[in-house]
Amino acid sequence: MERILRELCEVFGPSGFEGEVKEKIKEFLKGKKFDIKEDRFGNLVIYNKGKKPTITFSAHIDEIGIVCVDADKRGFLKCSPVGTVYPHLYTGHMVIFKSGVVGVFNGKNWKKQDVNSFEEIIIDIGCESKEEALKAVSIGEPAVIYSSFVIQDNKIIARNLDNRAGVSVLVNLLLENESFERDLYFVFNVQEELGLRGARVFSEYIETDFVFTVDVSTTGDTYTEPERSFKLGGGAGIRVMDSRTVFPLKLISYLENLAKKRGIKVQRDAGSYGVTDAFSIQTARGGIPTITITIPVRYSHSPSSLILRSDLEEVYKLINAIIEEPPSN
Amino acid sequence: MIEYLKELSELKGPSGREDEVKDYIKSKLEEKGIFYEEDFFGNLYVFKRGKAEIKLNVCVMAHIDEVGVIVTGYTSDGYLKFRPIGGLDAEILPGNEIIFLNGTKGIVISLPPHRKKQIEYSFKNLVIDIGAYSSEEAKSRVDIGEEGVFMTKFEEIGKEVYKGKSFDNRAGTALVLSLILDEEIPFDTNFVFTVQEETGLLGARVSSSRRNFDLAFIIEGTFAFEPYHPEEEYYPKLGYGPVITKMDKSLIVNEVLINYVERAAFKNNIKFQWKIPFTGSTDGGPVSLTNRGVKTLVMAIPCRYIHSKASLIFKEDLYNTKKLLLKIMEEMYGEDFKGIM
Repeated sequence: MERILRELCEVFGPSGFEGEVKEKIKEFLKGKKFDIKEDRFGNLVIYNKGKKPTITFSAHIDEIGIVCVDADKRGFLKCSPVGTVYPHLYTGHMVIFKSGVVGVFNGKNWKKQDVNSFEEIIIDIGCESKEEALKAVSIGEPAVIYSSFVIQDNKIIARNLDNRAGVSVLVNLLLENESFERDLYFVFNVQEELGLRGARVFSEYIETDFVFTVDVSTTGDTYTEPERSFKLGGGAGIRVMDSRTVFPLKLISYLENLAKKRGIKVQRDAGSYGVTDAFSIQTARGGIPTITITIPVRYSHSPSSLILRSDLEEVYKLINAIIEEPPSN
Repeated sequence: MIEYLKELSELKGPSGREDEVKDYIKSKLEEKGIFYEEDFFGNLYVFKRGKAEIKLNVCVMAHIDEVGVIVTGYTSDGYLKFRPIGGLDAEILPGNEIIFLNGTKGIVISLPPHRKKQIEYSFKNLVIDIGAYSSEEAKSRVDIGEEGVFMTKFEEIGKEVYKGKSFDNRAGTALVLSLILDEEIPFDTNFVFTVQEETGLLGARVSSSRRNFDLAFIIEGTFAFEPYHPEEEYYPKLGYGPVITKMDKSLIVNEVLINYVERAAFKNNIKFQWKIPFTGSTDGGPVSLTNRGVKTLVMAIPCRYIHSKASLIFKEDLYNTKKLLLKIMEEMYGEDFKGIM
């Protein structure tokens, strides 16, 4: 499990440039007999034919990042965010562009730590002129934070656990089974961080009875977030409500009963400020019962986010249980 | 193409009330006996046979609406209260002449420099003066909900440099119209004139869901600018060719399409420039999300001072955009649309 998560975290994949992540997933699944298709928007869709009802599991494969928009005459790059990026958290870190060029992400006022907008951000790639800089990195080239992947006992730290953690759960599930009895779709969707775009595309054409999306959710047990009961180590999260979605009670109680029966540790995830693919999916095709299973994470959308392996395992067990005992229509 | 642009530019077509523009397009099509269709939302469709028949359902799209104003009320002394349609900056409005769809003319109020500090130019404070003596007279001349646009004559003010209003997106409209009327195209293509782009990319979403396109080219008029310190800031410029979007607020263009653009431009020696990433949004966004994902390319003709009373355009850019579009289409056909399906 760790190996898969590590390899997924190490590939480059900001929204719109998820090619490497998709290649990685295909590489993992080489030799398996699943029907793998990529739609025109870029979502990777894996289908397993079997008994109804049809259940879809989805996880977005993109991460946040930045994109080069210009260079100034001294050879510093200017950039824009891809998704929700907090510039003050990135200052002082290295960023790596798609072509492999590495630079330093900095604010003009970085020693005072009051960098608030991307207007004040410069990226130093060690060039001396505008021409040289734009030859090394072209306008529109994306980049992500250059960071390591660390496992320490039960803890996992990486920049892009949102949502490679979710992806790794689904990939694991596919690796450990030759086929499933059930009618299942596994969707690795793109461009979530830019407004749930991939989810909107696949949910319009996949004919499914239920969708379970797997994503991370920021916990309320740190100094950095408003306090709420959702916490690290509390097991799989069952999303109840967030900034834009109210989840169906029927699915919430189904998951809670299932977890109780199987001894899986779950917790309710309510009151998050975030939003997940479920928002796009639940209104598609006249309404699809959709719920998000969340992995508790700290410091999501920062250069170093933290999850617990034990939580990841509970999520894995919960998804396995759903396949064995699906909700009824 | 310039004649079309001249006539289109002077027409009134604020979002939701694009009939004048559509009537002009229809009359041009009818002259040549070209069949067109219109959907309930107001989008206009033309299907044209090309040199080859293909399996893909391809479209070239341009929105025909423009930014404008809409009347929301009256003051007791006969001024019109109004709100913007689309992205209009209140600070550039004072002193501008406005013409309403029913022909009534008016001026957005402005204060002379002697008294300028007295009001802040915002939509809350600005009103339109139509020379009415009372609110009753104003009411009888312009209804609530009446839409208006800038009044600007189309003129050549430099050598092959043209001034006019609403080049966003009459420039794109003129280009698409000339593709239908005057050009031979590489393969069968749908041409769509969409409505209500400026108020939220609405027409394009409807058209693409109805027609199930596989590949879309969005033709736009986009901002260009010559900054005061050109070495410090990047802007697309006039004379540097079509502006290609890699990403904007609504869309990330697939890399396969970007590669086609680069190849076609290189082979045919056409220069082009990148749009500033993540600025603005276009019809491309909603279109790309329909029909299991539509591969969508956004190409724009650079124009200075869009969304204002008057913009500038270079004839050369308009022609180069058309040329590059045709070359990209040929390149795609030549490679059997590799990577697109």
